[in-house]
Amino acid sequence: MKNIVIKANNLGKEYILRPNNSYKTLRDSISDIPKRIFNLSKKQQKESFWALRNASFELEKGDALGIIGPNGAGKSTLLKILARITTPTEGQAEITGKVATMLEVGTGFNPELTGRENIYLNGAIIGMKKNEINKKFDKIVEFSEIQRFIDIPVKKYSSGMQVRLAFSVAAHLDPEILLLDEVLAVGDLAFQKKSLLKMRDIVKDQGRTVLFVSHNMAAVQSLCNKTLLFNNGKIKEFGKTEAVISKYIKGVYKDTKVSLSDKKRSGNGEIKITDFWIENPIGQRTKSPKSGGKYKFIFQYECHRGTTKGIVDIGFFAQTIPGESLFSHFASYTGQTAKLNKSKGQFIFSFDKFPLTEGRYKLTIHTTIDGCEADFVPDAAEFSVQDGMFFNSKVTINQKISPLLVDGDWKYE
Amino acid sequence: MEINWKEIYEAKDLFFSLTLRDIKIRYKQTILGVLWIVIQPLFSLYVFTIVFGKFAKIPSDKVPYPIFVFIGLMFWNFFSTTLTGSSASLIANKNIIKKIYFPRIMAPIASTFSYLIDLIPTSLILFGMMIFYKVKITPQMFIYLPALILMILIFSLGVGMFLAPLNAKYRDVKIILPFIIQLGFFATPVIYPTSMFGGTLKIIRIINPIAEAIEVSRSSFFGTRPTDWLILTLSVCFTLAVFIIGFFFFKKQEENFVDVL
Repeated sequence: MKNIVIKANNLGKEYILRPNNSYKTLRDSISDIPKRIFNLSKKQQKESFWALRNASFELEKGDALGIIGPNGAGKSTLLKILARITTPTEGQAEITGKVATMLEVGTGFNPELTGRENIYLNGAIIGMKKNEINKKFDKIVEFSEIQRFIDIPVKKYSSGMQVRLAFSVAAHLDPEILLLDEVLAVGDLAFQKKSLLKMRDIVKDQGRTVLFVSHNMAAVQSLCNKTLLFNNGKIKEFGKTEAVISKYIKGVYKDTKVSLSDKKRSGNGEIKITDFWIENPIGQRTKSPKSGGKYKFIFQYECHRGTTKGIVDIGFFAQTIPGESLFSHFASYTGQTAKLNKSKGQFIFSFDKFPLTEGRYKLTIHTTIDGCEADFVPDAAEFSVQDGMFFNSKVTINQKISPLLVDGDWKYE
Repeated sequence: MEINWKEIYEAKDLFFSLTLRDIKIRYKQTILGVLWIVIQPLFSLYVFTIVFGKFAKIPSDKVPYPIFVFIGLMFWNFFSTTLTGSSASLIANKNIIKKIYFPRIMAPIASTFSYLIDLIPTSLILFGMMIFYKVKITPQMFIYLPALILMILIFSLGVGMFLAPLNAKYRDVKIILPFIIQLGFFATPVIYPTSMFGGTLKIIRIINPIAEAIEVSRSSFFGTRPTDWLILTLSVCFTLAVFIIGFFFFKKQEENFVDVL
């Protein structure tokens, strides 16, 4: 039998928009009275918008749900309703079990109190009992790595320390249902890694249901089995994480199809990459190269002021769609930087064996002149790779296991 | 309206934490710290005695004026600080309320209770003065005093639960409140005895439990008049009514003040 723990039924939240977003004063309310009397028959003209509408879904015990979508799509509103912070304008949510919320790291920290006092305060606010905190106190402090400063007021902490302490408290909460909003991006790289691992422990814990709002596709992919895609306050997709994420990514890139020369970029602009394409061995453009094939990356350039004087270094980063870099190649790696003698032309990079596995990838392009950034285009292009014969065998390699393929051989001795 | 009593009961750890926080932060980063709790009433005692006792020669039912006015100040200050605190409690906790769910009623409750601590030094001063003025300390005092303080606490919390959501919605409350509290000070027999106004104060004593608390404690401590049980009972009933109305008003507003905070 299915064990439904969260059942959202046609949830909707309407916000009334007021000029300047100011709060109402008593005067406004009083001066509105005649207006209200005269407009009794007419519907009141108020501007409102639905931050969330017609949201219905069910979650079973043990599900980890990723909630994705562009900013302002209604993701956080949904969490706030489920967390009972705000009430829905229509519809209802049925939740079975103890709910804990982490909408923001450090909620309820008081700068005047010491780290120790704040652990107890913050713990109580997010719903821990005192003896529960007592039991977990040492673990919390150890995880946060601030043992030495535990009896100092939090206002004297660096922001990184505050965030670490706050995450540690929240991570040691033991609820049946956990609602998380973008809490992964805390602290330095080492702590981020540690907190991601901790999160994985929390999510993977048997029988716990987790709802996780994030823009980090890689994190959603690794933590969640189901995903909800929001846009404009409505649920667009709900299902298996991989399927939903790939639809989201396709949708985003379809919507924002701009030519390379119009993309967002930085740099002094002395040189500009205006176009990029991939050519197959017989010189035809292709959108989907095969693993292991001979391909060329063609970067079309234009110099802003005729030619450039300095030495040009061009290169690219090949990335997964969530943005993890897989490899890069720059002319300087092979000592092939040069001066340009034409104002327009092409940089051509050749692959002997195209090293990516079947899947979607993107490219960031970076050009420097004499070490100065001239043109930096993040997410400059996107392409799909088809399964091919990288290795002379019939093995299909999954993008998740090895997005990047490396030549090599095995010997037995 | 459905009220989740179990949830309120289970929030007792949160209640202690919030109360403790309010106490701790109140006097943090002050040089004299907790000493202020003693200095404030002593200072106003001194000023009030000089101005009203010596210059204005306000009668005090033959009780030494300093101790007479101190009892009034103790109750009045407790009421005005708790009321100011609880009606601002939602705004003060706005960052938490917008980010996490907890029984919202804990905000005004914890704020109100955190001021109880101020009464410890104040009552010590009171007993010190009683010894100094050779007023007989009776066992009844130890029943009357806490009971009357409880009455004021309930009354203040009742009004506070009513004002806190209003304050969240209309910040006018924050501006009007100090003014109303100041007016209330003069409508309460802090610096003058109830006997000065004869019977007219009786109705005020019913709808102003602070007036009644002051009158009852003065008349019983110094034996000036027998306690008027009818008025006391009516005043207690009024207090409970205010508390219940405040509580249900708060509960009713609970679901929409988050969006206006």
